[in-house]
Amino acid sequence: MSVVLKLTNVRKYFPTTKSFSQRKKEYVKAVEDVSFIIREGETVGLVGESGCGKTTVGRIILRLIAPTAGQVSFRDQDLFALRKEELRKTRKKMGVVFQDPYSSLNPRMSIQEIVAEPLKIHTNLKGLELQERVVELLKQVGLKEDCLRRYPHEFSGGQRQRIAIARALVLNPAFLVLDEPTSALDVSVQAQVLNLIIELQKELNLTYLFISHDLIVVEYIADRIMVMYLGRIVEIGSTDKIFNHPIHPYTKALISVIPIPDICQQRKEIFLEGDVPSPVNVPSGCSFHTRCPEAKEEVCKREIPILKDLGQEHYVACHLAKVES
Amino acid sequence: MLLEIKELETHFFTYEGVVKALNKLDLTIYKGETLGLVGETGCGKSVTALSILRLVPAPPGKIVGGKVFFEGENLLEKEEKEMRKIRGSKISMIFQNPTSSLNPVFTVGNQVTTVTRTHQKGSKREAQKKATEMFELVRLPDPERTLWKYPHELSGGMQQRIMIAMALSCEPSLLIADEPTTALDVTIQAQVLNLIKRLKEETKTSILLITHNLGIVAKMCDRVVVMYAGEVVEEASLNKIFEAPKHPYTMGLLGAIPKLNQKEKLEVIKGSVCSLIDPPQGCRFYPRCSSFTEICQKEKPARVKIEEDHFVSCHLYNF
Repeated sequence: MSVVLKLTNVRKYFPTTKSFSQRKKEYVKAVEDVSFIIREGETVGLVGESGCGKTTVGRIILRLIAPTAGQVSFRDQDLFALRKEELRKTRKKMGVVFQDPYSSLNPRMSIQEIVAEPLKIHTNLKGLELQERVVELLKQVGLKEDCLRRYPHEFSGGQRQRIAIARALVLNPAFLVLDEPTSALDVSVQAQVLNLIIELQKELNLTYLFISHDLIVVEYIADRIMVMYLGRIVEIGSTDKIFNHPIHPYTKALISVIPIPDICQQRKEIFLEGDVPSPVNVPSGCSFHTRCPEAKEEVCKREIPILKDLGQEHYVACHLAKVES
Repeated sequence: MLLEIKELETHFFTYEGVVKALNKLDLTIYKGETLGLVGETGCGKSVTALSILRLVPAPPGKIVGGKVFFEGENLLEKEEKEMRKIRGSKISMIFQNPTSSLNPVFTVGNQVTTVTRTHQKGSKREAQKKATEMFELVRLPDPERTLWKYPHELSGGMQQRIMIAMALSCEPSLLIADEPTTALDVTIQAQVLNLIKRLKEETKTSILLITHNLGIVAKMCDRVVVMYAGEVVEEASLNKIFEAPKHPYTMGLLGAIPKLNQKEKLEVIKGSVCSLIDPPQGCRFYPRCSSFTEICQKEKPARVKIEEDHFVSCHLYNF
């Protein structure tokens, strides 16, 4: 399968304004040395706690913000070297669905205008043809034709998220960034939207980056999972590896404390001490060593671990992980 | 029996019409138990909590009927002055968002001692000592210095610990926790839940835990009450809710959540929650129910006792 998206050593620092004099500029290190690939047709989950840089990665991929360093290539094109016209063409192939369907739809536009807007910008479709395409999309996401003239406030959260999905799909993209698409929704509605996302992937052969903090949802939907902590990717692996054989101590702890809706399973929970350190002053060496239950060796405080290949597409950034021969 | 709610009705009088947020709600909380109150957004979970404490914002809200017995006395008949003595001392509450429930212009120590000094006798020094003890109990690092910090200096997890310390400082007999960990990250959520569980075992406080996360329910609760559109649809022990749910809505909810190592398609409850201004006649769930019959449209289902400690409001079991 061909590689759709490739990130190489992507870094994003946001300057913080602390004092008037600005002598010493400080930076929030939101994303640090992130590299990964996404292949055609797969769903990759990006998980981590709030402030770990998940959403920033998503925004860089869509070229909504520029990285401080590093490369992003989409189908072998360097996204940040593209000129205006080329960028327009590439942008058509990418879509995004945001977390909050209440703020991502313009309240002054009718559903028809919302879904048709990308078509007006990127294609020459007009009049009836345009409307037909919009209706087709609405039907695909499970909405009826009579929605066209209605406005976002008339819809429930789940329906709004369907509209946002329709808008993201209207240009026939190949790749979608789904940034917490179901976290604002109730359980029963979440199930509807998740099923829709899966069905659409099969029908339209889509590739997804699914950003979420809800690990159970990610486990359900993703083929591979990447775990982020303080701007770095600490583990990448298949869903089975991450959930059933995690290697990184952070992943282990994270998986062990998910509240699972099952009363039979007894698990040993690993509680992490303290809070996530501030991304302005990231701890030296392995950024997780301050909370790590296993870090004992000096090397954890001194050296930044790099992603090691454990085979079978399983990568871990931990000094303690052993490469099996 | 610690708290008994009987046919509680809370309405909100809005411009669009009367929102019947709670419709003849019955609920019982026993001594020393953790009762989970589950349901989707807008089903009346929080309104139930606010009604118990008589904190429903009025106007537009009003408790129009019913009784709330707490330790044998009807809270709805009490003077406001007496209610103030109960809030924070006998019944206390933790809210969802700790950042907005702490006052940003006072130190956290000040806020915790205010609670103890309002309800208990003693000097300021004693109150501070008590607060330090409470901070130790909730495992805040460096309790004596934390006393002098302002809320913005603390992380979300620590703020929630302060809220818990504050809520427990007068040794309440009922603690209402309204989505106490929804605003927190998974690892911090685990710490806080574990703390609540441990404190409950130590203090024997009853807890009403309001949540939409069935994973948290499975971890924390002894009994579960499932609400839908302002009504209780099922009430049972934890095991029975998860292993033998009876109401179609409870079954639907359990089917709609992804489980670990499950790859089958998720079950879906079709449609969305009904309007509370003009709810369907009869059973409020019937428009979304997969097994409704004619009677569901006409008659409100009565509460049926299926087993000891298992109640359900559904016509399917009405024989």
